[in-house]
Amino acid sequence: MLVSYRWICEIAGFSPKPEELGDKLTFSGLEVDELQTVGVGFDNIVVGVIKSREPHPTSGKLHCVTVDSGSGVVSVVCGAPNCPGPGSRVVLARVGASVGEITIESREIAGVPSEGMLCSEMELDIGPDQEGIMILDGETEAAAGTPIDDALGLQDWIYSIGITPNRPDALSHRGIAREMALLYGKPFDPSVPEAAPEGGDPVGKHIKVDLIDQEGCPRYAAAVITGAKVGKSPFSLRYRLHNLGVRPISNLVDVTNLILLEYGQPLHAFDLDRVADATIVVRRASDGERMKTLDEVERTFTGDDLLICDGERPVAVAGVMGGIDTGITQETKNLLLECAYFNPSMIRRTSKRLKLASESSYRFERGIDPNMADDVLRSTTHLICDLAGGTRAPGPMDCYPVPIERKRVALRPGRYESVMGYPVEVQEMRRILKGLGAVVTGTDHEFSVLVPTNRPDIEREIDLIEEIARVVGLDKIPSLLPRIQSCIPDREEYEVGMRVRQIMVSLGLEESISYSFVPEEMLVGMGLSDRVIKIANPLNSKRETMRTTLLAGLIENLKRATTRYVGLVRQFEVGRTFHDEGGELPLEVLRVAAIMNGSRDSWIGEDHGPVDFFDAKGIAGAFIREFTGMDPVFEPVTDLDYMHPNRALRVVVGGDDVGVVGEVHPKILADQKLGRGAVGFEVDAMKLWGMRKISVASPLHEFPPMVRDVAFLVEEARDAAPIEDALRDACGPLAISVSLFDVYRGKGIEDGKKSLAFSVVYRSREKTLTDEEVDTIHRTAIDSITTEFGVRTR
Amino acid sequence: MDPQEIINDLQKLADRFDDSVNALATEQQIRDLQASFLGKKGEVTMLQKLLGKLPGESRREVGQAFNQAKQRITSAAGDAIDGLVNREAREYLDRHTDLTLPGRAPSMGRMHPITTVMYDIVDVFVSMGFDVALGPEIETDLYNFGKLNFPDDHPARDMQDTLFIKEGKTLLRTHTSPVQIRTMLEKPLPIQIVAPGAVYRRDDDPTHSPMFFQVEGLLVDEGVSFAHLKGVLQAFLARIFGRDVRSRFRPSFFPFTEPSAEVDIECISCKGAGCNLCSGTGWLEILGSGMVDPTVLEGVGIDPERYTGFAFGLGVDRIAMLRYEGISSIRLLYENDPRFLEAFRR
Repeated sequence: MLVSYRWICEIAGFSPKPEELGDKLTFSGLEVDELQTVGVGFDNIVVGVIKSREPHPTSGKLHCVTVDSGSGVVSVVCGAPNCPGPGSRVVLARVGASVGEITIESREIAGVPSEGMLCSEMELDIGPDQEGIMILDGETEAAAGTPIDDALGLQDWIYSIGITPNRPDALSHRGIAREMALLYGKPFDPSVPEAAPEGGDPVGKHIKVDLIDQEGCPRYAAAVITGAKVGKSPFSLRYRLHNLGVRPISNLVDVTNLILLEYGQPLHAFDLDRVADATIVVRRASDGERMKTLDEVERTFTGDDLLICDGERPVAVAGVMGGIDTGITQETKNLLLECAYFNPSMIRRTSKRLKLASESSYRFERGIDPNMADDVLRSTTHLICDLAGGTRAPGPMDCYPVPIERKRVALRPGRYESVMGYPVEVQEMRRILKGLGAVVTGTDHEFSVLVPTNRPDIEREIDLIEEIARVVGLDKIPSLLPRIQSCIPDREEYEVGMRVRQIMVSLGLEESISYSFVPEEMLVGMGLSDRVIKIANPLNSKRETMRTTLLAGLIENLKRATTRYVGLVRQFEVGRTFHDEGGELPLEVLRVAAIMNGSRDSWIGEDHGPVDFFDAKGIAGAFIREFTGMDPVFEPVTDLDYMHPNRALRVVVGGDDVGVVGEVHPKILADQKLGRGAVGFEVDAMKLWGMRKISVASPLHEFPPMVRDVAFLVEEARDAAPIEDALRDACGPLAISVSLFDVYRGKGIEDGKKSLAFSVVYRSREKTLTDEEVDTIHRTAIDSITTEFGVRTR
Repeated sequence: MDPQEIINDLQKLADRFDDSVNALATEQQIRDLQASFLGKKGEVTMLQKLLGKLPGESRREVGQAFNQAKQRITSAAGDAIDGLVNREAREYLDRHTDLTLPGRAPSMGRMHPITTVMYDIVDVFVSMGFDVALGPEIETDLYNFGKLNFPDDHPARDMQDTLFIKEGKTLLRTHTSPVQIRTMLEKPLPIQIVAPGAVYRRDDDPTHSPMFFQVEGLLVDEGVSFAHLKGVLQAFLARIFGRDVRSRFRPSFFPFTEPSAEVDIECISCKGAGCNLCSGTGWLEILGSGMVDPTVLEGVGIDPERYTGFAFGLGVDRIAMLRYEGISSIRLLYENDPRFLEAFRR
């Protein structure tokens, strides 16, 4: 909210330094985001008095005037249609003045010399009016040459204050002024508004109010003014509204806006002559009922919306916005001022449902003071009659069947100390509560506090404790370290995440954190859109679906990197995937996935080629071994839409399916406009963690190893692993390692075949093995393989 | 045979060995040459066979000459081999290598800057005796709002623009605060936890990401006061931003704490003078905090007369952006550009 320093000082009756006041407000809970000085920087811009006015010799649209600048008479060419005649006061920018972007110089305009410029509000940035130049007659009697900021009292400081939802009292200048008095320890005693002149029929003759819905509208007060004349508000009022971000419109409307800003009470002004049957009915809408609001939008209502109606139709959405048919116009003479208190929740629901928020609904939904209608109507009618003429119809018009009373709340000063950790004098507590407008009785051990109705947020002891704490200042509170009870750590998932990260980082991959929501079409393309969770109100279609796989985000990273000409991506991610299992909340699964593309590490003159399936398989295997102490088993898989049909394997650990490793399906990559060759894996981290084995160190071998190699000539289509497994079995317990070390095709090998070369390490824990023993075992093993697989050695 | 002649022959053999051995290039050649002199059929060995035929008195003298010749040859062979090894070693040492070529760097993995910062934050509190709790990222409206004292139809709900799964029922958690509720419902008192994790809001601009990370803290026990909140948070800020960091507590509003405070630190860039980072204020808002609202405690079955507590929440992204330089937009953190991720060291 924007707050005028001068205005709150006028209300509070004293004027501290603007910056100091800003700090005090911030440290009492009204955070000043910005403090802006306005109405300064008008060097050489002064009150000028027109001495003569002649038409321009050649241009029909221009006038040539002479102006008393206070330091001599200057000639000025003026193009404004409202250029006034002799005796009028205007705003003169003398030579050397800066007006907006331009610096005023002596120059010829259409052949006539001009030594200055007559300015409009808009040009000086002190109002929105750009129809013509400012004419100060009636606004100031200041002599020619008086600086314009002095003549019009322009200087002010505007605070931009972030008002938290618990402080509806601070949504007005009176509310801020009250806070200001409290913070400076001054009494708050604002002036009581004068009464408006009364005349004509009593208000009851002009209007009848039928308050049907008392739940939605606990209070409906009103006043009637007759014989007013719509016109322009004086500059001082328009300037104040302009600085506070409100566009001046006409005296009648400007006054209701000014009162809103002063008291925080939204008012609605109806053109009384357009209210049918001189009747106001406050009731719920019927489902489907319609009305066009002031913004010229046709609105449709439900039975939960509160409407203000006349004898025939709805005339306002209560507390939100008026109807277009009964608003104030340039012709309005008689007006009905509504000053009501509406149910905050209902106003909020209506405002949300209609997606229509206003200064009025903003305040009603936070809760205004229901008991300020008398002062507000007195002040409003006085101001309108003062500016627009007319008289107030005598007598009260106030439907307030069940007045809202002040709440009584108990406060134990001792409780304050135990919650805040330091004591405040009882007298100081009483002073602060009284400064809030509360009445404090009771004992020094337990106050009985009667809370003012402008503070609907104060209902409990803790609310009063907070009020005292914020006024005293949180910086007064000492810092203490608490005695913390030891606990048995219970943070498995957190630690699992960290452990996964450590291993993956040590394998040379960088961690990615990508959004948990992905485009649904991507999951559909991957065949992973089953049991998917969708966001009801997504930011856009790219972020509408919760991921069921971490690979989706990693592929998006790959795409982003590629479009930015980054050729190499080696990333992993640890995070949750989301799956609808029919429960209230979805299943969230902690997974780890990786993706890689581009070349392998190589050095100058070397080329180790691009990464392929085996890089992914190697990293997945290394991760699982390190993470669980178990060897993964890789099994064939064919039913995956997102992996290459012949280059993907299911990862199985301890007999349980834990994930997939493979080359990403070229079709998925093509969908993202990516080339082939990205590989990756994804496994279930918590499942793996549950399988981990305790690490066991075996005794180290003391006797020397004997190494024997063997190569088998096999059909191209035959896989290596079954032969390796069979060989391991055949070589027996003395073979501590059997590993494939070469796959050879080409010279010396017939077409359609390949040579698989294995290295077997024999080693005994009891003795040094002899050549003869090893050769015997080895030969027998080879024979069993050639027989079992029908292959020969090479 | 004249003993002196034999002695002369031995002398000549040894001289010849000396002459030949130094021209040889490998150890094997030297050994072969040595064998052709001293081996079974070597020239010295053959000559030695004549020794027995010599008269007794000269046998001793000639025998000594044999020993000397054998020693000379053996030692010359040894010297030659040593010389050879030294020459290879010298050549190995003298060989030129272009050391200006780049090193072979293995590719290195790194944790995401968010993870690094989150870990550091959590570590401070764990060191103080807090445990770590996590919760679901998709939450119920009840835990995300209701139990945290956000009434239905209350403007406090506008403070957090929400991504809903089912409006009014389930949603992407807007803060880590529902973990407070889950922990208080599940764990015995006293409670001291921090809860790191992803949270979501319906915001997307250079200063707001629809997903970001928070760390929540909660301590509930008998006799916990606002002074303890200040003590713990000031200790935390000193650990993360340095011992000299200045901080200030400003009253604020959160539905689930009362009294509530926002905490600012003196701008780490300008040290309070005012700069772009702090929008000229000299201060940076760093976290929100307060005493757990009695209504929240009652809602989870804790007696607020007996127990009090404090809670706080801080933005990990914000702290990452303060700790590292050059993160011009929060969204960069979630684009995972390899060039960006490479920039961060612990």
